[in-house]
Amino acid sequence: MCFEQVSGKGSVFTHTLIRDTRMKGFENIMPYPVVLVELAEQPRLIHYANMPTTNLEDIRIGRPVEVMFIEIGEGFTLPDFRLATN
Amino acid sequence: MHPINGKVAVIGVGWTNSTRRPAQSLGADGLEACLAAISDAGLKPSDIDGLCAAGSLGASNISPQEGIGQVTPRYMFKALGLSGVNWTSDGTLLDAAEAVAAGSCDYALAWRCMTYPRGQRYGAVDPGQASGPSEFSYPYGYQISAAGAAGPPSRAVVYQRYMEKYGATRDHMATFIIHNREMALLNEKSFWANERPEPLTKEDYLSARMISDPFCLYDCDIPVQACRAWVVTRAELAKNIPHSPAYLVGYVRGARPDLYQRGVLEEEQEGAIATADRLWRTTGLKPKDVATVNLYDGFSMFVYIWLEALGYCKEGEAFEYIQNGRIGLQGELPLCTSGGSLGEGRLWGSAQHMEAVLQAMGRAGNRQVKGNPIALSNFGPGVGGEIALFAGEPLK
Repeated sequence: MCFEQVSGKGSVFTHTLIRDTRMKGFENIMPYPVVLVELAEQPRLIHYANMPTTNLEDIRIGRPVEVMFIEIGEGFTLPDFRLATN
Repeated sequence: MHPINGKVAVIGVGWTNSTRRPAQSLGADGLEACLAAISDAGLKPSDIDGLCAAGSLGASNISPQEGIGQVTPRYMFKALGLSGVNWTSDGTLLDAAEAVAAGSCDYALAWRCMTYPRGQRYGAVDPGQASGPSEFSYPYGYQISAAGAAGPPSRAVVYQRYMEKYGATRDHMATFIIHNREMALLNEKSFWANERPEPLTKEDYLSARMISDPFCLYDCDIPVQACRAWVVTRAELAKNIPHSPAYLVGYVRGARPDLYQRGVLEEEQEGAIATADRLWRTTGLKPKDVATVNLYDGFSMFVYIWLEALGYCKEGEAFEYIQNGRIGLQGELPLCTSGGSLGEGRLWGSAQHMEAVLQAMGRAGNRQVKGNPIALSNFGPGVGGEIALFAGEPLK
């Protein structure tokens, strides 16, 4: 086992809109989408995402997406995804 | 023929009705159901020489206290006033069956007590406590699980992909949910018969509060307090007993331990197919040999996965298969005749196994199906699920 760099590209594998969370800290942002992104490198290689900059109606299975990085707190950066620009 | 066929019989059943307003502790529920099962088998507590408790589930911030949050063999041993047993385990009815088949004990008492944490979020988690695979999902407000309960979102994503891939709609699912409620109202053990004896309309279902799209409230089983209990013994000891026994004629569990529940439709399908294929292969039976199926419906869409995997219809067709009266009591495949988990309450497979046992015994009352008495029950999603077959007599 070792780390391998990936391209940061993928597509929407599936998604949900959470309207009743049990996750502490997420109550105030409901409803929020959770997206399973299938990375371009390998079938069923899944990365989770919230796609915070994408309109809900644009989150559809099969749509190409690309990685973006969000600073969620000082010193904490989280990879997330948005619709691919090209 | 499955090697368990003809070796193990369920000879006693007991329960407390599902409730959200418990009048007594979980321990009292467990004892009441277990005493009922022992008496139903024509035995007395001192005849029991094996104890097998399936777990409960509470909020992660409540420690499971004996008799309040859980009912373990330790608790039941004392409650029954036993002085010694030959075998104990944390497991399900199927573990008890394995123990008696192996000769580890003669009369195993198996039960599942379930409760829910009043005033708490059931299954609530603190994302700051992530470990293992959760480290990669909690930061996005999403729960996955290696082996246990993960909540609606991780199943909703499976359903969403199913719907988009095959063209299923919530309208299709309404048929199952309404059927399930009808069955629950025929079952005195169920939450709906007990505490809210009202039918469900299509409009009720379609306008219900959404939990995690595409799941609404009625796609998720309701947390209840209740116990289901059984006495299991070797077939040769199942003579001169008060009721006709239910024989375990085959089962498969954990066919694909390499998969884990992370929300991938195709993995749920592969897990279910592996389990179902082995069931038919090891028993020599075919789907049409079974009179009624009690599929796990802790979340509604599991039923689609299992119907397809078991071969009652092709991949991606279950949402059409369940239409037009096919799954009713008089239909081609009476489905979830007890009301399942959605109707009886969140009992983690004990609702399904109990109904299959009662059907095989011929004791399902106004829900009893006609035809041959082979009844199927299962617990779990496609990944990690188990399937059992019960019959009124061993297969020949």
